Amino acid sequence: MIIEIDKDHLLKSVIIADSVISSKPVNPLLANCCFNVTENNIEIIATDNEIAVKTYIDAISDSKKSFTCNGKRLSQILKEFPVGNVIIDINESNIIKINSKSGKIKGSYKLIGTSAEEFPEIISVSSKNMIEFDQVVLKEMIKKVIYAASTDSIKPVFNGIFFKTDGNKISTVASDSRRLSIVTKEIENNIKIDEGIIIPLKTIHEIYKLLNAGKCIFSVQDKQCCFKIGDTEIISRLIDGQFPNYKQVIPKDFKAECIVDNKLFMESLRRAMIFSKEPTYKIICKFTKNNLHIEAKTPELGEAEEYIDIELKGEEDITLGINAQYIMESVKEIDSLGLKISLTGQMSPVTFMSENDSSYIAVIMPIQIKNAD
Amino acid sequence: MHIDMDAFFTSVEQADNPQLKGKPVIVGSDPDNGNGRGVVSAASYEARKYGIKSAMPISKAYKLCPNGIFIRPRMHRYGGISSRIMEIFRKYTPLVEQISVDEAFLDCTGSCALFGTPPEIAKKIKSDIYESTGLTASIGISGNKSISKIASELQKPDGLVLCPPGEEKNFISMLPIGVIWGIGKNSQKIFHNLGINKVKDIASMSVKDLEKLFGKTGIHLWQLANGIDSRKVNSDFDYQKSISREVTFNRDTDSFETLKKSLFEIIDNVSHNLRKSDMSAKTVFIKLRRSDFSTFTRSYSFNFHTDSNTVIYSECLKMLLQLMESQKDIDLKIRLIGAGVSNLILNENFEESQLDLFTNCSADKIEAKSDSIYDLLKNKYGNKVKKASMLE
Repeated sequence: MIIEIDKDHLLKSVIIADSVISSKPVNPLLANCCFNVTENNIEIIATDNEIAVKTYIDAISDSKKSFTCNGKRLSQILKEFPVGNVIIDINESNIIKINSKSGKIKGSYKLIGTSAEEFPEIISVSSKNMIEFDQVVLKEMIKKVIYAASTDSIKPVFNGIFFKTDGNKISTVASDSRRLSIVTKEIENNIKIDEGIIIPLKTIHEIYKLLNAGKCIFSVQDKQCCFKIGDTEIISRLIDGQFPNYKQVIPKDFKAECIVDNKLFMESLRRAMIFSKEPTYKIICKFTKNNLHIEAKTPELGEAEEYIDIELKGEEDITLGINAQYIMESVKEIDSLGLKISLTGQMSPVTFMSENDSSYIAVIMPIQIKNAD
Repeated sequence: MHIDMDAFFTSVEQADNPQLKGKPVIVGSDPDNGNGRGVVSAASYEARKYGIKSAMPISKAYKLCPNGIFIRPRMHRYGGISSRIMEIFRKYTPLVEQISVDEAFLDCTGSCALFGTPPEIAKKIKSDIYESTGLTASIGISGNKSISKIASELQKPDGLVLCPPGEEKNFISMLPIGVIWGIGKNSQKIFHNLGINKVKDIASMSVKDLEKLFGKTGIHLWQLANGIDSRKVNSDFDYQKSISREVTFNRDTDSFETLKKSLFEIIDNVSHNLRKSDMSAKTVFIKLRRSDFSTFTRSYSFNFHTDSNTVIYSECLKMLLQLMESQKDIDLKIRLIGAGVSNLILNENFEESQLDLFTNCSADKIEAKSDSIYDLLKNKYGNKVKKASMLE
């Protein structure tokens, strides 16, 4: 069987599919991508049993055939081929002969493939419970929370992003139990995931890479979710377990509130945190009536302090320790001029949001400091 | 050098009340004519002849020796004597590691020039203790902690055993494996099943096999069995590792309300003592014993230190609920409930820690305040001060 296809198109699709393949697959067959060739297109499938990618690409072929081969090897060789179409010839024993149509390469490349018979079947998600998303919006909803998700595997529910609908609103939430970020947007469709679902980080990264412009389709069924973005479908298992009650930890009543100049605050923070130390990046913030005093001290490094003018609305001064890295990661997602910081106490959550938009909220838990009285 | 007081609690009682000397004395809970339900804390050597051991149910001890003298423990008195003894140790070296109320390691390497050879120092310490308190101690001397501890056990009471340098391995080779620090009942079972009964048998095993059986501990056990122990005497070590209380019910119970009430009282007491010692805890644990003496424990570690009654109680209550839920098929009543805190630090050494959003750590100021007022009242008026829910 002979296929003719633009090498860059094929390369791009193979890379998309191959990226979900685990570096140490349990089943050696899953180290390969599966190719289902019909007369006018190729379906490329790859999976690590947790997440599967199906991507479609136009191609001209003289017959139908299915086979598998090592996607990494194939993409490596395609990368080094001259621009233009390639001719791929697959024989009965699944030997894949690749050559450039231009005839510039004198010689031959033969990649060993296998039959696709035993490759697991990937079931497409039904069209029930679908939502049409603007890709730009979805990308933003991921970007603004993903850094807050946990990468250690102590609590699996934190190794993903929580999607939940509430009437005509949908939220994405991520947390590592020390901080939490949430974005809420209005949607038109009536998808109902009121219970919420947790999509694994690996899946989120794959989706994020694909998101660009236009619409995409998101659907949920049983313990699976599916994203259809352009010519690619990503089908993923969901993380089992109950995402903690995040609403409960987002403070509603505050002891004190202030608006700071976002840019000045970030600059001060960036300077001060040079004198803090990983992994806690502890800085001390003292909020008083007219001042925010930021201080970082590390015995073997030195110390830093800065003052920022603020107007604190509240009864009492509050001093708290907090991870500066957490603030940086959250606040960089806020693009308004004024940043609203809301306080509930020395040992309770601090909230960061835009001064005029509450669609994005970051909550950070302080570091317990010594002068707690 | 390892110093261990001989039958400490009962010896203190005998020293305070000379009439008790030479008699079987048992310190523990009220035997209540053989119906008592607590346990033995300590037994004098005379009582041990009847087969009475510490941690044995008091009712069993009563059966073994109904004419024994049963005394309720006076922890305060023992603590006072203990500090006096520790002071004596510090006269001879600053490197004293107290590991329990009546036991300590001393490193006398640096004080030999001042006070003589280690056996000479040991004799002086023994006579100092006797003069000051009328009590006897057993001392083991060697080049490392493990051998010293084993040696102090060999000639109890009033013993003094020296293991000469270089003899460590031979010294312990013929002893039963149970003498090794870290080999408890469970490990003994594993070894016995393999036909291993003496220390020398462990010493001749391969490190790899031990590692397979016990993980990292296996390597440590091999070293100890070969007389090797590089641990230093740590004078900063704070022996108080946990604070806990237990209640044995007068009648076995299956009422959750009763358990809950006892737990509340236990935690009230534990957290009060915790704050009194100016400490905070990271780990909380509970213990349940069923009527057949099967015992179940649960523990939980916060990622912060706390001394708050509410925080500790609510976590313990949660564990109690989980434990009861997971055992709802067990049709045995409960005879004992215990709870406590461990992983303690002095508040002044308090580590700064990142707080958690989802664990309720609101070491709230109001609560901390109510705890401290309660403590104040309790210190002034004693146990008459009770929380409303504890009123009968």
